[in-house]
Amino acid sequence: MCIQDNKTLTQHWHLLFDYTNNHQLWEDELVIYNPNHGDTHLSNIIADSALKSLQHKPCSGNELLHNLSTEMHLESSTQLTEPMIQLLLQLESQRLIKRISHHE
Amino acid sequence: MRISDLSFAEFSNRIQADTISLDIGLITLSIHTSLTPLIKNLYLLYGDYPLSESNFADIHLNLIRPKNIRRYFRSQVLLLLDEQPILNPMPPECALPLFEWGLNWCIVRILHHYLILHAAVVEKNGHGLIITAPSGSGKSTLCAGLINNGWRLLSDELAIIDANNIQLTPLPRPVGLKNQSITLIHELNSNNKLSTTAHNTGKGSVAFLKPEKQHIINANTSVKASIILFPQYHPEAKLALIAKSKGLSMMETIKNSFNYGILGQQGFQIMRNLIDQCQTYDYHYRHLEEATDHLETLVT
Repeated sequence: MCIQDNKTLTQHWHLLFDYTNNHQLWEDELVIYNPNHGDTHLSNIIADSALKSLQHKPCSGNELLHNLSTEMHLESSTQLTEPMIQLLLQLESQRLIKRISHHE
Repeated sequence: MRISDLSFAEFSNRIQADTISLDIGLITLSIHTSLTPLIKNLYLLYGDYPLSESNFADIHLNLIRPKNIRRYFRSQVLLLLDEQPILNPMPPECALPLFEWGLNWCIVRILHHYLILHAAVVEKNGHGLIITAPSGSGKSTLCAGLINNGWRLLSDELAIIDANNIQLTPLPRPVGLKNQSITLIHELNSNNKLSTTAHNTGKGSVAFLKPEKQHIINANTSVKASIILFPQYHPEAKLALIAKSKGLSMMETIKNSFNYGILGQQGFQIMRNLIDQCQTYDYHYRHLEEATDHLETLVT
């Protein structure tokens, strides 16, 4: 894991939109509407877990990983680490979540 | 009173001297033109539409030949909306496609209280079928084939979805056919009434199929959206109806929507309700009759 990946997991993230009213989950497919920018994205059930957690309160990547592992009844989160990093970077690029800087 | 209750001479005199106003489902359209070939085509295609009894029209269209120097060489036709030109001018022989495409353009711009998709819509046994795809996928051909099999035409180009109840609102208009489809639909049923064919339109040769009178009479009867089909015609395709996931269906339907982005969050809510209540399929086909017969299984 590179330094950048590590930061993605250790930094805290917060949600930039109202997730509850702007998503639709069908089996393992998640459609997300970004009301701030008008974009619609197709994602997956991992994103649903992360965004639900962030709707509740800001979380670090590691916390999101832990929550997801618990939901999926996994003993280890190792296999989910890389997908979670990719997901957080993707959600950030889609302007759905933002890193909380030290100044906030 | 319907347009066909007027003689052609009465219709022609009136549309040249003043305007003809007709009711097309949700909208009232007013037309003025002096282009004789277009007048003949309009009389054929719109003969069964009711003349409007109102002085108000939602859309005022006027087709003219501009009186500039080009009228002497490579003459063109302009489509005016409220006396302002819309779309690019086209040669006189393309006046009908220009009118039909311009009318679509106008409708999309005034019906923002509905979600509008680029789609054909037909109905049988209370099942509303939305056929949505980019141009050239065989959407209109399939639509014309289904009409020939007894399905009711709601619209050939625009699926108009009511935000309140996710019902499909009819807007029956002539069905646009391109290139080989023109001959195919004529051969399918010699009773089909087609306009003259316009060549070199930018989309190839184009003709329009006259809608059935009963479908126009039923233009105020909406229907529940039940099935969304994403068709793909290919000359070597094996017939296949393949269930498509809801997420992918929603993303593809968004691509085929005219005003999803304009409606914002409301558009998202209508779209997800629409996809949620519909069965969604990819449909690959080669033979029109085989394809239309197969679709009967979805509604029986």
